[in-house]
Amino acid sequence: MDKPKVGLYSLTSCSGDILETTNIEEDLLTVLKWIKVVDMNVAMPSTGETPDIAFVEGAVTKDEEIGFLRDLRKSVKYLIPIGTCACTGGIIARGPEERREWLSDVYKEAGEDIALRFPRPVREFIAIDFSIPGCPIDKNYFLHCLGYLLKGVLPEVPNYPVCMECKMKENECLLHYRRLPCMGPVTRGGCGARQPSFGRPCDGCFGIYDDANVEALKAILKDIGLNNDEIQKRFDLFLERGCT
Amino acid sequence: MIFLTLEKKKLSEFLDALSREFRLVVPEKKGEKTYTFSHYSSFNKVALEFLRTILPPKKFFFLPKESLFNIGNDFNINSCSIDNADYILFGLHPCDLHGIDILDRAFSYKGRDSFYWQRREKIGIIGFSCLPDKYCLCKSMRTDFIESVYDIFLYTLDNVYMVTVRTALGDDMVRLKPELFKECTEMDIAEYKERIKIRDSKFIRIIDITNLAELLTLEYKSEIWEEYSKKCLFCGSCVMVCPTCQCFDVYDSTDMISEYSIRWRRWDTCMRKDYALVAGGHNFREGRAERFRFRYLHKEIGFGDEHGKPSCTGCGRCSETCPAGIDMTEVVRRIRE
Amino acid sequence: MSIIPEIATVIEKRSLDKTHSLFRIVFDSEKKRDSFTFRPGQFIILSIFGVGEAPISITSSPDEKGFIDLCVRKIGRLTTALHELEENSKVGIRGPYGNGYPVENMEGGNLLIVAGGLGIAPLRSMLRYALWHRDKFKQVSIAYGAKDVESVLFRGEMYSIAERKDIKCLLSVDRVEEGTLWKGHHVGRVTDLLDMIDMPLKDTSVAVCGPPIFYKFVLRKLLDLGYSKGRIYMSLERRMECGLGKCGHCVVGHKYTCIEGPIFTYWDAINLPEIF
Repeated sequence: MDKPKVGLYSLTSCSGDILETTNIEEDLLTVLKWIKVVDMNVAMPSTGETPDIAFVEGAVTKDEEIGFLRDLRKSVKYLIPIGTCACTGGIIARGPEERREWLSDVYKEAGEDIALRFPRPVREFIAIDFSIPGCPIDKNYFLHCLGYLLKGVLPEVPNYPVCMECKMKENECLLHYRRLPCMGPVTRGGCGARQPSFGRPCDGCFGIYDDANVEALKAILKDIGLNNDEIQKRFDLFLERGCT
Repeated sequence: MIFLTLEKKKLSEFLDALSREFRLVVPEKKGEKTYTFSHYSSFNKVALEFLRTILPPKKFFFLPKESLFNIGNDFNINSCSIDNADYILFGLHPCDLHGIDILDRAFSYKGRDSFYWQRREKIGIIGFSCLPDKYCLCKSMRTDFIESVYDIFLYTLDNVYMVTVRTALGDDMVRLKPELFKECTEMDIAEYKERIKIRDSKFIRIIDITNLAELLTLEYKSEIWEEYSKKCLFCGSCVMVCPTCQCFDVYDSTDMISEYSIRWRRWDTCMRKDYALVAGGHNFREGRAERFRFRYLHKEIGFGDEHGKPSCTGCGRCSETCPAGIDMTEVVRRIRE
Repeated sequence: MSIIPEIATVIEKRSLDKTHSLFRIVFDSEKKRDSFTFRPGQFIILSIFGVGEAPISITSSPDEKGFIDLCVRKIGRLTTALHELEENSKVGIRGPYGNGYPVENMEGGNLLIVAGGLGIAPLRSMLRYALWHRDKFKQVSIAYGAKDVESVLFRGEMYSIAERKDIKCLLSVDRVEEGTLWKGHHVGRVTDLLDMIDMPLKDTSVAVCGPPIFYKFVLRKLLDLGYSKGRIYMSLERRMECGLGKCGHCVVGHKYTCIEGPIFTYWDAINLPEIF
């Protein structure tokens, strides 16, 4: 049987998610026994083949990206956004919608010619099969999901908050004991409590999970001393925009 | 059962001796305000002042996540090797000993769970006395003392520990360093009696559990559940830290490196929305208030029929850990009113 | 009972309608094949390795040795993967789990089976058991309803059972699509069939299984007709993950459906906290 073909594609992004897949390092050769990579612009030239599984990083900001996604969708079995930008719009979807002024500030006259859409997640333009969020994605979670896709099934969506994984690791709760504004209680798990395990509060890069009690967390954040504006900023970073 | 004493300053020698024969686990400081049971390295890291660890001792025999077996393309099932090292868990307070007792019952109910018991049977336990803080509910839950589960129990007196040796394994431990232990004197016994009274008087919060099972059932439709479910984050922390929560989720993954499919089980929580969801989309316990109530009913009524007692040991972990500040005492008090 | 499955092979896969198929499964180990016994109403937990597990009731009779039949709707992750398997694929089977129907108590009396849709899956096992041991029961009747002709599972088998003289088998569909041949008895609700079946109230066990809405109407009808709550047997669907009374997912009130159930009398079921 031919090995399934996998393509990794970038839209508007920092390339951090595809780069993270190269951090699989010593195990990468083993992974390549299972799959054939046909496209991965940070590491190799395209083979020109159509993939069975396409991973797409980055948010949609240009019209040609929409056309690219539509064509890709028609030819692949699984199309999966990876990284927060592709899943929810991400960091680049923060701030005001009107950015013409920024463009001319940064690029001077050249900025005038840039046709830029407000960054939106992939799923707003085409049907997706699953999403692998994270900023950047977690390489172990990526492999975990790929394992299912190769079996021909979609992974289960981790419908539980980061707190569960954090407690299983027996971390001291940052929100409760250190009064740090941790977003763990409303954020989808799967990362293994990446940040809290290093003593940094979760920023919520996996996005909000289905049963998140947002109001309850806001009350707690207020209680530990954040004002409404600061609370909103915590939620805006990854969680609320594009998730609702 | 034999009673001995051990001078407090000799405890380090005893633990050192134990650590040479067994894999010794002791309470240590984890963060700024928290403790954890971890592997003994040196006596000065043992946090004897600890009251409760983040995770209860169940983590040593009911693992947060464990593989049950793996299977390759040849369809041969390989059972995963169970780490058989003999642990000695030192420093378990009566609430945690009760927690183990309840889990033992749960994992034997109508069939033994081999993964649990293969580890549990290898574990020796040294109990350790304590003084309560504001979260401790053991006196209310009638779990403030215990006569089973432990191999040795150390009760703190002024200069010595009163040592109760309950099992042959406990006797083996004592005999590693027999010179450290002395006969119990009449003065020790008098002091022990006095200490029991003092400890008894130190419980700050008492809840009345008389007829609690009936009251909770009668208050099944109370608005209290709805009210608390607005405050609750449903983060699952209270379940992870509970010494008697036994729920787990069974799932598979394919490890691309080893080329094995692996069957796992991992701690789960009845607070989770998808907990009772079946294929096709019907959810038998979808509402937040229902889920909140379900956990309370299980802890306070528990599997009364099957285990013969409620599943709450009054250890106070859930109340201390809750980021939303939900306190079991308060919920129970509200139900009683 | 172990949480570790036995390897088995899907030797036959037969499509029953658009979303339901019948899978015939044989244990690879000859020893297991011979020793595996079960009661009607019990279930197994089926594994597809790398995908996961799901509880599925056995639809063949314990008297049919050497294989088990599973009637499965393509509805979740695992059942979708199962439908995509080719014949001779390997799966894992563990069980049987659950209490099953109390056949010893039912024998010697009359048996009424009331099935709706996929509810026929566990009841077909009971039905085949009763037909195999026909002399152990007095009157045997079955009322089976589905939404349309295409959805009547085991249609051919049911038509031929309906021709037998020693059993009353009544079939009903909600509607008949134009141009479809319906050799059943009724177009309407399955509760209408209960009026056509004249079973004595005394000594009759009623086994009921179907979707939630079906239960609602059928149970009301059975009570109206005067059947005892203690002799109406329901099969409760819950999320059974371990099947061993440990993992907690299937608990209703304080009862593990996977070991105390899935078969409950109507009386026991209404006395479970949080059932309705």
